[in-house]
Amino acid sequence: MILKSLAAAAAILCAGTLVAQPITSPPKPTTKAAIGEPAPAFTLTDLDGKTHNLADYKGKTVVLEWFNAGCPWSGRESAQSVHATGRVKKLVAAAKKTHADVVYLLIDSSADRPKETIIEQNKSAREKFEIKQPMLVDYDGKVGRLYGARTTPHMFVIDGEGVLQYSGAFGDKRAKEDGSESNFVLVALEKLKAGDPVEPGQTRPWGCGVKYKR
Amino acid sequence: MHVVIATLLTLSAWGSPDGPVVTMEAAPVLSQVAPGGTMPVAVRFTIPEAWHIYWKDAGTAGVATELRVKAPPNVKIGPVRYSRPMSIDDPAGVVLGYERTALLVFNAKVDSTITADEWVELTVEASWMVCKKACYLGSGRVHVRFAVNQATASPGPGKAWLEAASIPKPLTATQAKVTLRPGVLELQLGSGIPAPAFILFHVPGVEVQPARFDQQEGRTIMRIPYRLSHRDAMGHAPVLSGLLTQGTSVKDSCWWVDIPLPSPVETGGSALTNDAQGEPEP
Repeated sequence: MILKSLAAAAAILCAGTLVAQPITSPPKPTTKAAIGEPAPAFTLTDLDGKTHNLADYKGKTVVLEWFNAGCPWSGRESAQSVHATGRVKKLVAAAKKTHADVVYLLIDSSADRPKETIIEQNKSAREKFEIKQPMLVDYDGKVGRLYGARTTPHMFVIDGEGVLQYSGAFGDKRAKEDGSESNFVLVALEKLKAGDPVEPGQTRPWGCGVKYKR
Repeated sequence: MHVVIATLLTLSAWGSPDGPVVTMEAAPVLSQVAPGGTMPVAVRFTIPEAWHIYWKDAGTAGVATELRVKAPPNVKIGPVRYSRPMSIDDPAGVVLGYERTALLVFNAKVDSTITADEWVELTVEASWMVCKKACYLGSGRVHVRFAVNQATASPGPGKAWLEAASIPKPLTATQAKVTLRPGVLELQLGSGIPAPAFILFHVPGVEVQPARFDQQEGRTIMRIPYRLSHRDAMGHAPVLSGLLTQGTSVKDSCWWVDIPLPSPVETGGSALTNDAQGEPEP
């Protein structure tokens, strides 16, 4: 980060025609997701045709969940699905306690079926699991590849400044024997609220591979 | 009678009657074991054509195949060893797993208090995810019995399964020398190995770049650049773990590597530790 800033400063000094950037300018979105860097910008449309631009949520904490209605860890009915088991509902409710204005977006980068089929299946999952959050369609996979989304689910947390703070697993794959379960997203949100560094900032995601267009 | 009984149970995926059927079998590798001895037990999965299940580290995406073994209190179960996986192309990247068949092995150490002519029964439960274009979850449970007696053991039904796969052997300090330079681990093998590769087992907090190999004076040298991130370690000790392989077939030899990593400022020697894998070979 420091090296990049120095390089940018040097570039500005060398190019006499460049105008110095005001200190208060917002961080420029990067082209590839990295922890501690501005989150890549994106604009996607949800199942109802509404456009969502990440920049519109500036000042709010944003949680992204990669989703696939055909994956048993994600949007398909199974004993391990984060939606069928209510883990996402629990997460959203807990997240709202720490960040009242948290924005939770689901993104589907699948392209292994026709786009219309994916939209239809996502609508069906939305109804079945009573998903209230916007479900965005990334059929060409550009946003998924930008973020390095590998699995469904694969979670990302972006702070109010637009900086990526967490990337990785939803939590432990399964609840512990005592019924408790870890949730790395919630840990990240709590750390952000307390002003502490997000630890862990990266974990290994699990789930089905994102079914990108080949 | 020194007959070994391995119960076969076939299960389709959880809640997915339309999913592929993966079969799971378990069998002792020896016909019987003496009191105080160790019985290797092999667990074989048969996977439908073109589908795959996953290694203990699925790679870019996926979910590891897992075993849980229930044993009587006087039988101690060792860590599970996974046969050498293959790289499988996936839209999300390269994943590590098995096609057609997978073999997992564990040791059951029988307490010396078990008297001869007793039987030991184990329950082996497994969970897996099987994928092709779509993915399905599966689980299975099998029971395996073996006799405890002083007779000379002969090969059990699991022996043939073992011979058809490559189970990692521990890489010992006599086979390789470890040198740590700032941010780079160097492993010098006493002899050359053909077509070497390193399959990483992800440990939280240890970020690793692809291994580079050199052949020098008949010896193979592996160098792996690494970086430690205490922030992401979640309490795990920094260890570089993975599978050193030779050749390209899943039947070719492979060795399990566990090397503790010091903080980046510390350099010098390190040692191979194979606590998890260093059990007697089947």
